[in-house]
Amino acid sequence: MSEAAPGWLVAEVAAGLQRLLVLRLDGCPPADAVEAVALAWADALMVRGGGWQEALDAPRIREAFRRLAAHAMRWPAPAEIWQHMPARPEPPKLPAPPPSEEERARAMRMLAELREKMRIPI
Amino acid sequence: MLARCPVCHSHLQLEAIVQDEAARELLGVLSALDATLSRALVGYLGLWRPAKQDLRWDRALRLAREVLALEADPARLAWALSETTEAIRAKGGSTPIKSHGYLKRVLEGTPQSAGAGAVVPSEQVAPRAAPVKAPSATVDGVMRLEALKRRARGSDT
Repeated sequence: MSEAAPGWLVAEVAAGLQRLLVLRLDGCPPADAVEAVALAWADALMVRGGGWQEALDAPRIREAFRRLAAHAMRWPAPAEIWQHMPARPEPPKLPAPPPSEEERARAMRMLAELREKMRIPI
Repeated sequence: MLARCPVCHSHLQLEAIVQDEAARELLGVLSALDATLSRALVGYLGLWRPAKQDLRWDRALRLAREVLALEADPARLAWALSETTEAIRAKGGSTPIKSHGYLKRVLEGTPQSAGAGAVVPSEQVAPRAAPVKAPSATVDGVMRLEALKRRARGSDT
C-alpha cells in the first residue's frame, strides 16, 4: 500500500486543478467535490509515481498541469497527467578528471606527430 | 485589434489576450464572477497599474486570485473593493498601490450584510443591481482548492 501524499504534492495538485477548473471543461467536477477530486489525484500520483521530492518534482507537476491544460478538450483523468510530465532534471555531472601523466605524454606525442606531418615550425 | 480598457486605461490587444495564457485565465476568472464583483475587481486591479506601463497579465491574475481568496461572500467583497477603489482615487490617485492592506482594512469594517443590499451607498458598486448572486461553481471550486492548498502546505510545516 502506498503512503499518503505529502502536503506539498496535494497543494501542487490543487493548484493544477484550479488551472483546469477555470477552463470550464466538459465533465468538470462540481464545486463541492473538488477537494475530494484533488485528494484522489494526489493519491493516484502517489500510487503510480512515488519517491516524490518537492525540490525536484514540484516544478515537473506544475509544468505537467500547464501542458495538460493546453491540450485537454474535456476534464482529464489522473492518468493523462503522465503524458505531459517532464523528466526529472539530470543531476549535475562531475567534472572530468585531470589527465594523467601518461595521457599528457600521449597527447604531446600526437601533437608532435601532427606538427611533423603538417610541417608546422615549432 | 487594439482597444483601451475603460477602467484602468491600459491598452488591450485582443489577439494578445487570446494568445496569452494568464490573460485567458484572468478572463475565465472574471467571466465566472458575478458582474458586480467582476467590475469592482477590475476597477481595483487598475490601482495596481504601474504609472508608465500596463499591468502584466500574470500579475493581474495573481492579484485577482489573492483578492478572491480574501473573502468568500462575493457581495461583501464587491462592496469593499469599490469602497477601496473610490477612496484611493479620491485621495488623488496615489497609484500604483503595493499591497492589499487598505482593502483588508475596509473588509474588516464591512458589515456581513453589506452585500445583501442593506448598505450599498456607492452607485459604482451596484447600479440598480438585482440581488447579488452566490459565487459561480467555478469560483466556489477555485476557492475551495485555495483553502485546500493552504491546509496542505500547513501540514508540511
